Amino acid sequence: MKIALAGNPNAGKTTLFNALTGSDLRTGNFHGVTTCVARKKSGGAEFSDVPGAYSFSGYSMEERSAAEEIASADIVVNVVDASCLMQSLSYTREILARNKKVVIYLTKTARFRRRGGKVDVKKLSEYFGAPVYDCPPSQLKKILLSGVPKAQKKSIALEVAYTPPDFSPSRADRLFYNRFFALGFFVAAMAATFFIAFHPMMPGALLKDAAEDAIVVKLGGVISARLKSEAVKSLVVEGVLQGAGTVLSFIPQLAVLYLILALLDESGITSALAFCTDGLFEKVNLSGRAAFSLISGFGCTAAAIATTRGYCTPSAQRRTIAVLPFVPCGAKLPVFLTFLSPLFENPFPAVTCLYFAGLASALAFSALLKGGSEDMLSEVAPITFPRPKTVLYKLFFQLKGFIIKVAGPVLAFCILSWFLSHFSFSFEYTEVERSMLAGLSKVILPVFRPMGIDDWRLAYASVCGFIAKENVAATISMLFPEGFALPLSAALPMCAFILYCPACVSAFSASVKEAGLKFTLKCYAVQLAIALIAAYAVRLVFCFI
Amino acid sequence: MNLFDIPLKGRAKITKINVTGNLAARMQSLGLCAGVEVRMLAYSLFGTCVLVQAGGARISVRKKTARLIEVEI
Repeated sequence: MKIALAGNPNAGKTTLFNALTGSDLRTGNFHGVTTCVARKKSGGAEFSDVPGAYSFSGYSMEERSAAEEIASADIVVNVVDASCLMQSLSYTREILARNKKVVIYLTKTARFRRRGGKVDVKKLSEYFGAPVYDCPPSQLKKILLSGVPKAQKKSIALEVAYTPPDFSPSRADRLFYNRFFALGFFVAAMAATFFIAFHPMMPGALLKDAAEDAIVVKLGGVISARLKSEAVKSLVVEGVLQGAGTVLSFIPQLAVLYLILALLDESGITSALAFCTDGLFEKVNLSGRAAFSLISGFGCTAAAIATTRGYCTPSAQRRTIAVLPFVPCGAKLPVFLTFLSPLFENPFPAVTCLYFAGLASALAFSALLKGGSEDMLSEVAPITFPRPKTVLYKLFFQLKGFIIKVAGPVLAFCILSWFLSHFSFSFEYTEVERSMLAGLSKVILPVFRPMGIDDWRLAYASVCGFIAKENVAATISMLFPEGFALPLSAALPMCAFILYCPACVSAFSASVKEAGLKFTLKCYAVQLAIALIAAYAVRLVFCFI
Repeated sequence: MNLFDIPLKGRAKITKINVTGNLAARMQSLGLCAGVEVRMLAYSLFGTCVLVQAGGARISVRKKTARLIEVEI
């Protein structure tokens, strides 16, 4: 049995889908978070989460896929934000006309009632001729799986069953719709995030140091005392603990970043911000929706690229994909800290500058690209107090994703790097300088020499970033067991290179999926060139000082 | 007078929508139709875009599109 969840954008389909199936799909209090159909089996039925749509006419790319999904479903659950029932009527009618078995489910009823809205579920069922529910998701699931009761259509007026709430903007709404306040708030929120995460006396940095100490020093000490074989000891302590383990210790700082992003998303501030900053985005030929994508880019570039599917014109989508890698993702954070922590007692201002420089470069680069911008006509979500459960859930799953990535691909890569760096071409256990890795990396070293990098290990570490940005930090801490510090004149060019260099493999595949291989390759070539030029330029500045 | 000219916090009634095709369909489904009362909520940075309330929806409309929607106060 196929059950499809459909409705207008931001009705709460994905939140319901997550509750029904125990999934962890990305949610957010703005329009167009879900961009492709998600499916999951639960309780003997296949649920599908359909991207939000307003009609079947296919104005945007995601609306077309929604229409196909609804036509093929056994039961359609029309998810309706209780406050916006009036405006979703036309879509509900279209669904009713296309599929016999429809259940209407009202969401966000608490806010609806608080604002004075009234609904009589039984009378509304009679009005639509389809069962209407506003029960908790678990109860809805039971109803769906045990067979949906039929509802008799009667000719009653909608006013009898439904009274809309008061829509006038609240005080919080008015505050965040003020362009100056919204922009100031965003800058302040990001600065506060970085402050809590990076200032040496703040929880982010303190917890990070404690975690690193526990993993590398304490656990490493215990393990190396127990192991006899020199090679095995080196693999476990240097390869696994110093490599992947060090990256894991960045979790507290990433948690701060992810938490603030989740709060901005769920409270609807991102949505208000997208509207308020539209002027800025129009000047650089980006669509207003690009604000969502760019803010998501602070978390993960691949996820941000996926959000561009909701755009109505392919040229606007491509432009956003082209500039997204300039917005530093969460995974670049450990890399910047690896370079900057040895130089600054308090790396907070430096890292903040890098993040804002990345955002500014993305906007500047977009202004240079040709092509018209997209007409903006989109809904803006009201400001609400975010539900702690939703925010924590979101944070938890993002961190889980990070841990899985480090424990899987990054760990595997560390072990491979360890192997390459401890064996010679004749497969003898040897010192690092004579290893295969040294031989191979010296080939690419000339590219990095103009940045002031003379060590092949750093050249190798930067190249590892193309697989996953976490690898750069992992490789550096693994290959420099004696400790790592670069002078400012070499660390800054490296940071510039990392800031601008093309995104990782998962972002690459997301980009290929959305914009095609040819376009993606072109982007990567341009980004690589910009990264090298920027790094050389920064080095040049130091030569003149 | 068009949608873009409504003063902040002002209310007006849509009289005509000079748009065709997909954009018109999108407007209709968002509730921007002739006869609907709209309320001006905010202007974006540099005044390129307006935010209006129409029924239960808050819709942001760029200047170029807003000029095609005629209103009367």
